[in-house]
Amino acid sequence: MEKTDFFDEYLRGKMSQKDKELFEKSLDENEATKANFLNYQAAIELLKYDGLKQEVRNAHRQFKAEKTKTFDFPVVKIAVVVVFGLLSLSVLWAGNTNGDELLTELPIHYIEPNNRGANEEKAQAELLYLRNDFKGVIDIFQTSKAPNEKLVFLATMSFYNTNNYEKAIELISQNENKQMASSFDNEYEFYKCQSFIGLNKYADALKVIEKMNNQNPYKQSYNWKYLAKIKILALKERLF
Amino acid sequence: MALFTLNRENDIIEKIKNNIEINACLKYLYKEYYGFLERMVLNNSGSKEDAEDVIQEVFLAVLQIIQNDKFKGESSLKSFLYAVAKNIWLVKIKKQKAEHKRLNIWIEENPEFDADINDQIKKNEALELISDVLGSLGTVCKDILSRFYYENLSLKEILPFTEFENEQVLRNKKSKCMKALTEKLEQKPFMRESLYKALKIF
Repeated sequence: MEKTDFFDEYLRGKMSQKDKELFEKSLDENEATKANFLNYQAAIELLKYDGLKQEVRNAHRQFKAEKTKTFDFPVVKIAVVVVFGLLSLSVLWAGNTNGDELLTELPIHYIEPNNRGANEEKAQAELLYLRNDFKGVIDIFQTSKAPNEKLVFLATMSFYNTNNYEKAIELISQNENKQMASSFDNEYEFYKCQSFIGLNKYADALKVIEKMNNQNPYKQSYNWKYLAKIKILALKERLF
Repeated sequence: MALFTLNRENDIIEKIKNNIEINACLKYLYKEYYGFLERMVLNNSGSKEDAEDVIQEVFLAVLQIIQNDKFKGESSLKSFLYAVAKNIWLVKIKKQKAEHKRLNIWIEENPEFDADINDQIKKNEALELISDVLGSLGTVCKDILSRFYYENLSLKEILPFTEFENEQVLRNKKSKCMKALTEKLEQKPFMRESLYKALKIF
């Protein structure tokens, strides 16, 4: 048995009473044994100190690492809250957006057809139109055997102004099918879109805008807000 | 203090005393008291870096004092930590010859701890001075000795962590390692003497 084993047994209290007494006696009498034992105890204290120091160092490292993580967490949290907030606002805005204002908040107003197109065979139709007597214009149109380009346009606008959007679209489509250029093509494109909006057919209205000729002054007048509203309404129409 | 916290802290003290689940106990101490101790150092002319060093020394000393059965729960763990931090920081300040302008912020409480705490601080200073001998010991030796003397494992329990054939071979290796360590201590007589003095072993 090594000397160190005796020391361990003594320090761990594993010696018999008799061996313990003998060992303590040798410590008292033998300076070399005592010196060895003191050194041994110091070494054990050093090992225990080092062991605990390593534990504290590891715990410190873990704590600092976790602290860094928790520092990152609020940044992620704030980002999530901001994104969620923006999404909520968008959903709220989209939910509250309806087509009512799209017809009243036109980017530009209707361009009056004065001095455009052929002379009206029934001059009264233009006069009635300018007096907002749309029903009178429609009556002239419906009784006309061969309405010219201008009367058809005035009738289309009169149907639109009396909220008869289906009829307005029907006349615009007939004009498109003729495949002949008209003095009122720009207005036809624009009011076809507006008529679809009047019928709450936003996806169709969006298609008309997308197809619209870039030279059309009405197209340039659509602002981002107006377009965004139509796109949201078209999306809502598709989804629900 | 809430009963739950009190019970938890009694449990922590008991575990530290028996040197079990030390990492979990330290985790608790760090979580509950790091901010408190850091503020104390910062309020007494210390920097964040000072606080980091001091807090590690505080926790080390607290573990040792509890393991040496010098803290019996007469006061709360928080008061005890406060007392240890105060003493360690005062020693550091004196060493740094820093101005003591703001030291009166420390509240004198539990002065009965101060003697034990200062004893532990002196022991740790002496141990730290001589601790480089462990670095020159070699990884295998340090691992065996640490498991045997710090973790208090038996040779049978240590054997699976090593490449030794049997317990007897491991026992011989452990004895050789311990002999090497004590010889290294003998090579530093002055430091060894001050260590004996601090450890009060004569």
